[in-house]
Amino acid sequence: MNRSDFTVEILQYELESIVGAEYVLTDEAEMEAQSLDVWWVTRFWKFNDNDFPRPFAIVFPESTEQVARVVKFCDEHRIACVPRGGGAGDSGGTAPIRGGVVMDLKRMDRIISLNERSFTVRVQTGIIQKHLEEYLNRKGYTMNHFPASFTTSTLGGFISTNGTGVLSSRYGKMSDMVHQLEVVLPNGKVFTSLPVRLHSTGPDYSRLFFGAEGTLGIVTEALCKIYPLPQKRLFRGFLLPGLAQGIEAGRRIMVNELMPSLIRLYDEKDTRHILKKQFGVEADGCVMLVGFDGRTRIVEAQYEEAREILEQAGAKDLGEDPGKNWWEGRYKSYYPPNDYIAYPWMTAVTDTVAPYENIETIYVEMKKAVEEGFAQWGAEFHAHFSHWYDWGTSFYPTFLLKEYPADKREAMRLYNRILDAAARASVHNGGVINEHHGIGLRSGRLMRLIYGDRYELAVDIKRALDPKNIMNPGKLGLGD
Amino acid sequence: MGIEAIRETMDSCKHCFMCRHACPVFLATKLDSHTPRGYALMLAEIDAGKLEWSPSVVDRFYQCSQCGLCREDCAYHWPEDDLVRNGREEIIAAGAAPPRITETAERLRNSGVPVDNVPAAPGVLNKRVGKKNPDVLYIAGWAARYERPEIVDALAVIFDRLGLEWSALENECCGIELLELGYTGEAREQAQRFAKSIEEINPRSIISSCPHVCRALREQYAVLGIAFPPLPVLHTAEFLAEEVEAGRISLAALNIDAAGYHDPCHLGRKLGIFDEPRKLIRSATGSVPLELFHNRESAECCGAGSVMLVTEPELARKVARRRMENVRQEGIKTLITACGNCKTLLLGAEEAVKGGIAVMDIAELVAAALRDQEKSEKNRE
Repeated sequence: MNRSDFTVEILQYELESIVGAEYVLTDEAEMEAQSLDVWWVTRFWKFNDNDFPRPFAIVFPESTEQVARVVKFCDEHRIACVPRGGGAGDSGGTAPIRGGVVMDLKRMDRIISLNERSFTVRVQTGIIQKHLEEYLNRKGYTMNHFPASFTTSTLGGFISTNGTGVLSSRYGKMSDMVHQLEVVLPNGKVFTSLPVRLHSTGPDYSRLFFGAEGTLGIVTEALCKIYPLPQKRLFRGFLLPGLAQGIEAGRRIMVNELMPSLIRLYDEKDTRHILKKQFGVEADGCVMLVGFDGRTRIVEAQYEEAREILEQAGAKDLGEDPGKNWWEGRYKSYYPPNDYIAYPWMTAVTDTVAPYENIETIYVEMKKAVEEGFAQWGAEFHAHFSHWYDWGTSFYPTFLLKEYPADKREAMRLYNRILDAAARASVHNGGVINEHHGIGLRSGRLMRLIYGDRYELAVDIKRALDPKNIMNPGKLGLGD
Repeated sequence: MGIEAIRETMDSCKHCFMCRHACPVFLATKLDSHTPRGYALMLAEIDAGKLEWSPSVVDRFYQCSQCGLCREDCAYHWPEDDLVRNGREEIIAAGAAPPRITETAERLRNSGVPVDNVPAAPGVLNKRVGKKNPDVLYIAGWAARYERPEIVDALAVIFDRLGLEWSALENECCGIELLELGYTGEAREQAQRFAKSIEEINPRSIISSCPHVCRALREQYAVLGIAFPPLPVLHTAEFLAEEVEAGRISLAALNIDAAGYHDPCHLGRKLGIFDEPRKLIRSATGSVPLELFHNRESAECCGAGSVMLVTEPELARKVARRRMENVRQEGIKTLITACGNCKTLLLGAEEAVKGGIAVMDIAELVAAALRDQEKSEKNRE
């Protein structure tokens, strides 16, 4: 046995003493199965005969105490520790680029308590969101969090990317959905935030960990907000004359005290695709799906108000089917073979959020930056506006290249250039890149563009909490 | 054969995570290497010559019960379970199967039973072996025949009351377990022998307690190119439901509180037989059975499938324990199922925790209700 084998053996034994031998994996099978997320770059790299970074061990703790002991161990020995939930991010956020230990949290899936008086559920964060939702549904509740990776990602993953579901216009992002967090800090100590979020007892420190992608610690437990299952879910489709009218109609719905669970406005390109695919119809304009849920009378009254606004904007009522079909088949487009994000096509989303006065300009500039800036590669750009607030909205653009350079490095450079151009179009026009699919390795370099010098605060916080930089190193642009 | 036949599935599933939440083995282990995406990624690397059939990779490929819930859950129903089965063909071709697999296959070839030291088959069945031209050829399946003889005894009582002439086979291996383990050629040979032995008996119909046998004869033999006479092939649940509906069997409502039903994968998801067992439970208990949260097409496997009960007993028990936790969550006190393997594994999981939930086969339930009915008729006389 050579020296490094000996070291690995000792480290493995230490980890086994914490979580049990069965739950420390170093085998080829699990390393291979965990090797990829859904980021185009990681897939492109791997499927082009390149090796991918691996940890020396994957550990599966079952309790906060075990997580704390493993983190403390990593801290003492300066071993990188990468927390992992579903590993289904779009940014290389769980790639163990410095080796070390991957902490897979999926065994931590216990539902601790349901509070039917304050409408909360306390749960370990390794639970797959669909399993949590199924539990709640059986009790008559819902969390109303329905992101694309609902069936496969964990609550902890959503918290760590500050994820957003399709009903976010009413129910918000993860940071709106969670009252309290328990976090294992990089030194192995356990921090639990105050039992309520809306307090004035100093800052709400739990905010640090939403979207931190495991760089500041590992979220192990959360107290989440729940809702009764709605008496009624109403969806309806409309065809607006153009994007500007659609954005304005959406704005008017939001600033007029309505609380739609869903507004989904597709740009002209997406609309043509959807109308043709779903209804075999070819028409100009922009489809908007609207939805309301909750008590029947409130739903109906709100819908009537929204319908009036849409009619005033020149919308044509497409009936219930578009919205209903979308709701029922909302995950279908994430299965292969799908026609927008099919590998090996080069694709990325560059989600952006901005106040109403800026959003249309950002859309136009971003589209121009991608389609005109990369016309030689036939770059396509399409988008939908899917998270609406009473101050602004966010749109979810995707760029797509069906052809790109054969040379691997050139292809990856091209990918990054497109991403950078799209991000600049957003930031320079008053937008914020809104990466709820993960910042990870993909957009780390963009953090300086987005924050400017203000990002020094994030670097200082990271240094203070994790001086040895063991927690998910290299992510979020916080240095390696 | 092998990877070539599932290349499209492999190239799709290696990009997709969506069914992870469904796999009963993943739910018990939380390993990505137990999910279709994990299998697709491993196969793709093997295909590219970057990964070998190392012991850990081979182990994962034999830790799938072939229950097909991943395929069912998939929006496009990609044949994800074939990733594993075809991968196993590659393992066999590479000579990389571990002893527990080669030895199990050897036993299946020799005796038709995947385990050693099998006890004697129930006497009531042995007496019937080889009888020609019967009304019914009853194929118990190895689990009922050797592990759960109470199922055979229950059926024998019912056949007797119906006055049916029935017969049994010496060797009941239909070959499907060999097929699932990746021994495709040998499975075909075994299937041919099995079909021939049935032809020699010349029955008017076939009834089986084993969902695997039913599916083999009804669907898989045609795919494998096995010539088989056009005989009616019924699972016991279908046969019994028909007899009750036709009024040839009268059942008393047994005093069974909180009866629930577990769908065996091959009977339910694969053959689409959901209603018959439920109707029988209703007739035999007077109540609609309690449902598990994941039921019918979405029912989770008990862990026994693809001989995992024999080749991966510890993992199979882990899967079964989870299923019994689901049973407990629904307040079920008597769990009815319709597969000998399901009964063995679920009962074992329950006994291990001394939980007190009774587990019985649908044939036992019907036989008990029939006996009760006869008793009360006798008392009235």
